[in-house]
Amino acid sequence: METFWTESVGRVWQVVKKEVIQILRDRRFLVLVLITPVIQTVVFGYVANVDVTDIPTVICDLDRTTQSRELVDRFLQSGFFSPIGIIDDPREADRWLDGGRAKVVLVIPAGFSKEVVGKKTSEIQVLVDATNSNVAGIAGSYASAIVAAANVDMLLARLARIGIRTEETVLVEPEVRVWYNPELASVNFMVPGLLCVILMTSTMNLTGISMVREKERGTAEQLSVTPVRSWELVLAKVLPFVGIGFINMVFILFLGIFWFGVPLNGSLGLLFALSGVFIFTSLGLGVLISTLAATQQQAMMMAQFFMVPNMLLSGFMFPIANMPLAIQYVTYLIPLRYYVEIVRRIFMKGAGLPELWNQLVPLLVFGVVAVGIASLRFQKVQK
Amino acid sequence: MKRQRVLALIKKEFITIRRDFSFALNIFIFPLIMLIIYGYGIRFDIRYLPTVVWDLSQTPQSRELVEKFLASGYFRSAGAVSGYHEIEKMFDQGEAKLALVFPADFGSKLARGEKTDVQILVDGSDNNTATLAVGYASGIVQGYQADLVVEKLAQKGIRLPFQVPVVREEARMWYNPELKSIRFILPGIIVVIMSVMGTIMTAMAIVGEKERGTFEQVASSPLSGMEFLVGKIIPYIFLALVDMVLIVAAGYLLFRVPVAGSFALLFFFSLLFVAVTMGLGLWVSSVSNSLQGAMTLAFLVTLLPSILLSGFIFPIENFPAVLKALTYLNPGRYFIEALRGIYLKGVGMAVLWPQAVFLSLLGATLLGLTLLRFKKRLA
Repeated sequence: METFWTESVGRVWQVVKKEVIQILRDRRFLVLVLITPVIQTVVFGYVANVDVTDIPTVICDLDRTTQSRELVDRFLQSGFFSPIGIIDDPREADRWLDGGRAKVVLVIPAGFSKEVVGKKTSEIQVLVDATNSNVAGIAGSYASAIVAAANVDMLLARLARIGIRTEETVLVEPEVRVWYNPELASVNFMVPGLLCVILMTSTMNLTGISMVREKERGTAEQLSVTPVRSWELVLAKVLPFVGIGFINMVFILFLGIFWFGVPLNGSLGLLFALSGVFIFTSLGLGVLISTLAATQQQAMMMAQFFMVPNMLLSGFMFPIANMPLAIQYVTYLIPLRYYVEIVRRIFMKGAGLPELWNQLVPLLVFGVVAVGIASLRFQKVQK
Repeated sequence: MKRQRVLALIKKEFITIRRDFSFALNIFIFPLIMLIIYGYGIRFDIRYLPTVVWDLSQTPQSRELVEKFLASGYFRSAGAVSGYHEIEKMFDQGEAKLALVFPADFGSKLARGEKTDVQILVDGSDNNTATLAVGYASGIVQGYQADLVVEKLAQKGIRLPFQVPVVREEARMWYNPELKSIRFILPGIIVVIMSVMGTIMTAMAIVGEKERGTFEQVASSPLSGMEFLVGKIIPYIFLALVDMVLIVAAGYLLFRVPVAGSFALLFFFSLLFVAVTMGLGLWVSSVSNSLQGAMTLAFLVTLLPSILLSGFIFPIENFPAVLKALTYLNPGRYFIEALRGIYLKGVGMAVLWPQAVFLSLLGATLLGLTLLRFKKRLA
């Protein structure tokens, strides 16, 4: 029994060595595989900024009174809207919005102050370029919060003018506290998610392709006549990519924590341990793909085909809570979803194993199923 | 260049494509799946955000404010809790994203006309959702505040001699009134799919011949280098354009997103963009030794710029200066601006001519340089 294992380890080691030599020989590829995640993380960290501030805004103040200027100031001083132009004719709004220079046009009608001081409800218009529905939604929510606050003040001012004084000006103070991510920084949300996506790409896609290459070149047959057993072969082919996956992970963590200042509240050891589980699942999927594909091109396309739903439905960029219920159920079939959840919770909420087992179990199930089917199919393909 | 030989190669390429099921997967199913996920699944505005309430006051006042939250449509009740640890647990499990905490004296203080506060706790891990939630929540509290003033005056028998609210805000969402993300995403999907088809598939097709060793067979055939490239490229130009039409048609049939502007213009810009992606694909294939390498490089030069740096999802205005400057070199940026303009705003060349100029310049430069590179190697 003992010799069986030592022999087996020896055989696996030989194939791993062969694989590593093969990878090291193609320097360009190696550099690419190691550098790409770094570039992606840097670009993502800077770009994935949905904290909308300084929305380019055009002011169309047809009233030009103290009251209207006060309202305009409320918008501009909020820090969300920054003025890029003033127009006198609301019809000019078209030009600004069509060209994409302005995202918001604030229109205060003539007679605004008369209505505010007087008895009627006055109407202002906030025109939003909604081609980007994300930014438009945020701009809309800012605008309505600003107008709601202005309303309270104007109501009290109106009352004061007619001699009615309320004892307290403000009765209910909303005290907002943001947990886990008080500065509402995008990087804190994005970097952990990105880690997951990159890890999946570098393990699943690359293994899938590397296994098929052997098939396509005909070297798979050569390998099958060697004493290497098929499971040993799979293991050996997969191990270098486990290494690459972990190296990528270290790079991304380093960048995220030290460059972007993303706080890691949980345990680093746990993060690595659970990432190991995910890598197992992801490699299982890669091997599965390789048994289904005849050429590298097919393997690549299938991997990509599988990757896109994983990216979109894992909650990596688009929160699952905002999806319609039916789609939310579909997301349970997405392996990446569980890993994204695990990494985010460890990062932001400092979660430990007891809080994470409900994500870990489905992830493991996916892994075992994928590896199981893959090894069954692999044996068939080998025979 | 002999037309006959090129045609024969095109035919061969199409046969290869037709035989391989994975092509069909990528050409027809892949864009549709992306479209469907985006169209049905992804929303940027919050709706029915799970909210828990810890009400220590248990008074009509606190219940009224909770009611206002639920009636807004932005929040839904995820139950009542008693204690911060329970809120934390709900947040940790992802079962709630917002919590309202009313102090014990909330109702009694309000009844006496004293100042009190309500705590709004937000799970900030998703900053985008949290930002929206904070905006809506504070708006709701302000609205409640105004109601309270009016109500209190009414209790004293004072009827307001004017209408409330004082100002009403009418937010008009131009080009996309319902804030449907599909309208915003559709042009982005076209850019991503055309990049993938154009660059990745072209690079794969050429590097594939290299790796399988069939490149040498081609070299020994009467086919000249240029004929080979043209014959290899044309099928993918065709497929990229087919995909564009497919997405536009599916966008209309499934989601009723019409093309507001001219379809001819849409086609014209697509052609310009295809030229750029072919240039990139040829460049990738000229520097890669293996399919694996070509794939990694192709993903880096297409998906990254077309998804992240084009304004597809993240607004370019928010980028730091260096990256903002880089986007001017990104063909995807111009194509997406043109598509949004044509698709959503219905504008024409009068507005979009700068995009056309930049796209043509980038395409001509890229294609020219790579063809030159190939000519040298193949000669």
